[in-house]
Amino acid sequence: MRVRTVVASSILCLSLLTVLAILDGCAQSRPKSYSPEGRLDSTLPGALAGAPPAAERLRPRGKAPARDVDADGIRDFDDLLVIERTDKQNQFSADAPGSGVLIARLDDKSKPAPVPLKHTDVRASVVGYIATVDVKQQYHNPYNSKIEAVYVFPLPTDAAVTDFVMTIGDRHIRGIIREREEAQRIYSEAKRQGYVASLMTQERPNVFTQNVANIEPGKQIDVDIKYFNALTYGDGWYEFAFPMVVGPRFNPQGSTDGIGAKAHGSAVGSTGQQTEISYLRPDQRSGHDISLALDIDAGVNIEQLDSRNHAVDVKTISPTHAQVTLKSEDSIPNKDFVLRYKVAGDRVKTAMMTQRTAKGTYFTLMIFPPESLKGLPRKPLEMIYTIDVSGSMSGRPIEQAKAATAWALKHMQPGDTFQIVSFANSASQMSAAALPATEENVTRGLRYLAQEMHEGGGTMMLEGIRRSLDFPHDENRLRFVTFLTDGFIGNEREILSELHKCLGPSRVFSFGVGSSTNRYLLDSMARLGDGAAAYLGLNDDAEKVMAAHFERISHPALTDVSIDFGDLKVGEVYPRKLPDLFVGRPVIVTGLVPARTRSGSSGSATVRVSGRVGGEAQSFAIPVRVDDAENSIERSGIASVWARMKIGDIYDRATWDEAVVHDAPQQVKQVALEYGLMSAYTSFVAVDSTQHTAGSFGTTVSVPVQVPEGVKYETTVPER
Amino acid sequence: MDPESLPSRVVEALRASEPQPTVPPQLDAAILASARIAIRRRARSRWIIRAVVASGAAAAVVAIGFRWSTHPDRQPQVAFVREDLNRDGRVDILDAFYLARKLDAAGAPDKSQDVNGDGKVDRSDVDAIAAAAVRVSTVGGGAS
Amino acid sequence: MRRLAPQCLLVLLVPVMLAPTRQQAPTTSPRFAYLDVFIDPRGSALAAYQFELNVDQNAATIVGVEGGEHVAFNAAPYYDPAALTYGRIIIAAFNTGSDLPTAKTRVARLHLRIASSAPEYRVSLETAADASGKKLDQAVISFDEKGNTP
Repeated sequence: MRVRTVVASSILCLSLLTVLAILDGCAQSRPKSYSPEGRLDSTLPGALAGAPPAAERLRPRGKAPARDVDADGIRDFDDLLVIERTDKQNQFSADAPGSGVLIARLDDKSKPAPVPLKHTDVRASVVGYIATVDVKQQYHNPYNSKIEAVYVFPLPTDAAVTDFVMTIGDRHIRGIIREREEAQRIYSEAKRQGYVASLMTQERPNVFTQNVANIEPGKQIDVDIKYFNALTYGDGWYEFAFPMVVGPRFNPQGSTDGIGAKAHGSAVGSTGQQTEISYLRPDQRSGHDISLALDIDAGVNIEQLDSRNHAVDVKTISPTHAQVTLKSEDSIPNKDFVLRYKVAGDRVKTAMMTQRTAKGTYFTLMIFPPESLKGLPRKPLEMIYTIDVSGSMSGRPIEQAKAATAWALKHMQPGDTFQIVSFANSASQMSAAALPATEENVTRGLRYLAQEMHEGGGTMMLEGIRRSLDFPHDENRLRFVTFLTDGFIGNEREILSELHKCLGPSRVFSFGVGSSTNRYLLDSMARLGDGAAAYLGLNDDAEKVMAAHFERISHPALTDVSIDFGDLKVGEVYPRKLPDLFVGRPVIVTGLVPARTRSGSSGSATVRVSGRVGGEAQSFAIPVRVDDAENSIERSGIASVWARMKIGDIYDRATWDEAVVHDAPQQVKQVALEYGLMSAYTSFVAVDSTQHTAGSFGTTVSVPVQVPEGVKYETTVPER
Repeated sequence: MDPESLPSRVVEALRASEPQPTVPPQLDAAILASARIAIRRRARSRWIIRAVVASGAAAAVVAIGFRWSTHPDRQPQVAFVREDLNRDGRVDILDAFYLARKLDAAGAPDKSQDVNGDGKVDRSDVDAIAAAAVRVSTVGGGAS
Repeated sequence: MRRLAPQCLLVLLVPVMLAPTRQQAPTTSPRFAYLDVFIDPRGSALAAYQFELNVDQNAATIVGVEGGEHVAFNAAPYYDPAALTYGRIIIAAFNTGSDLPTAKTRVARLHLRIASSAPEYRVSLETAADASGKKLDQAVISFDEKGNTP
């Protein structure tokens, strides 16, 4: 009996253990998950066998993963896996033919091949002062396994991006605009399920990221983007600018939402920033080139054309119509394309541009300062010259900044005072207080510029702003602060917020110095600072540019500007806060005349601009006709330009107005979705759902870029 | 005039005149009867003519009145929107198609087709119309 | 045997008590599919079309708009991007060339992300015309949803 009991109990225990073992085996059979450090434990299909581990999660430091792994062990979009590898043995030497062509290998079996962005084609047309621009990016997969291409690129700050088409072979799939999170979700799911998909997101008003998923070996995917924007006008010239590369940004310690710069081939996530850009070394070139064609239909005679940074061919179709094409030998996308042109007469300048829609008539109006301003003398000035001497300015940019400042010092008026501030890792200044512009002091200032400024280091622009603005103001003088910088920083919002806080009665003028400046930052500083922005390219005559600036500030501005649109029942007008009018610098305003409120049948009115000059009231009239085809230029895209300016206005106010900060995302989303525009909170996405591509979603390859022309790689891109 | 109602003095005067060849009374009666018939016929014709003339005048009045009342200047205006180039009362892709075909035919441009008012009639006008056609915010999916 | 009864009961109960909680079957991932829209011009040459699609935006999201199969309608058609947020979209295209379809042809393809199992679509043909602009009242519109299993 005892034996039977023991045997039976043993059998029962064994059974129990067996059952438990089976149950445990079921729990273990799910796919591998990621280790806490984020390294991929399972091998990728074929391509990286034997490769040194170079995979890390693209995740801001200090932030925990947002979601658990899903059933197949692959995380969602915000844990994008980025893998890069370069085989140094196959990099050409600097002296070999074809030197500098970057190649990347995924495995030892693949042949050397260029990176996945083959070519960018830009086609622009200008009517009046509104540009319509089509940008086609050609992605291809030169490898032997699927890839996802990621490309961070710039567009003009005020670009109203309205269209997005993905082309696969001869099939054209037009993308849709969605809230950013939803677009990312759609893209992530499509990528995970093996569909070809593309996603465009905005990192800054002038910086965007393009993701293209599941590009099969040997295949090409094109992405076409279309945008509208208004040209700038100043000192007699219209200017069309197309940026080609984002310069390496400095991010203050502790920030994670900046734009990080890293050497191509270094570990992903090494910058600690949410957005990263890989930069090629000076002896490397990616093979990605750019073509650009610009059609200018000015409507009036074009008197002069000038390409600032590129060699171009100009074809004159008629006295009012010209075509400008980038020369093929100048096709490396490492500097802004800037084309300036002068036109005859005032018709185009003063014309109201309109677009009639069911909602009403959208218009843009260029308002010129009254001629009378030129005859009035200005008050004595307290001139502060704040120069960025960080590593990115090293070389030609700092030479240009110093030359411009030197000219300004030599042309100050008696009664003016001046100060020179420089900033890099910290800020320093020439003297304890602003000095009278005597000959002796000017000489001292020139010596300081030439010999005593300490150059190199990071770009702690906050320090520069505080040092330039946050000290007692001389009541007898107008304080004009001129910043000379390339704007290569990643904390724009912090800078703008601080500027607004410290501004007081000062005015801020910004000089963008370099071939690819951060125009978003510089234009915003000038706008918030009631001043104006100017750009000094590496090939520009620094003294001429500064002379134009001096001409501008040597006459008083029309301040406290307001516009009365008379009989035109205008609704929303942007910019909401009208900037001061300086000599040579008109202001473009855009507004909406709602459909039901247009008065009369002619839509004519006298627009009256009022303000103060030196404390005295002044006003001038501009007769306009909204429906008059002779005197107005109707143009598709005006509605988009209006909506983009409305979004820009919300962004501006959100930098300093707490009441707006919380509502800003919702407000921007609403406008962007209604008008079909890209924004910080809306994105374009397109999915080809007709077929799966084989295998997993493949390897992510970031498109590396050149540092901007004139910028030193060694002082701007950390090798990690 | 009814011969039977000739004034008596006329009858007497006729009788007092030189003897006329006599007419037999039966012949006289027959002639008078024929005359009466003829005169009645003429009277009828006159009425018919009057009736015809009156009818024609009335018809003319009606016609003129109808034409006046139905003149386009007097009709409530049909507001053809600018983009409704084929004037079918709605803005849809057929208006863009209409203009595109005109452009392909390379005829003399019609200024009224310059939808976007840039002084030219070209593909941008076609695109402007197409955009209006598919705009969902527009009532009726395209009609203004 | 009666003495073994408690042990047997234990054997039966313990696995149940110790078994890990069964996870719910994972919720179905959204799937991707595409809706092909066809127009049959019934023998006439189709040169222009315009149709309206309505779909519950909670059930399906349009994630791409593609042209048709015939070269005449190969380019991405016109539509209002703002319309997509309302679950209603108007799509239109035309071609002035001479190579036009005369039989049933796919004029547009809508790429979709399907959240629910069977979204309902309502497609209505607003207008169709031949090369001269004459309306094709006899034209018929149809659609077909196709997709791949994830």
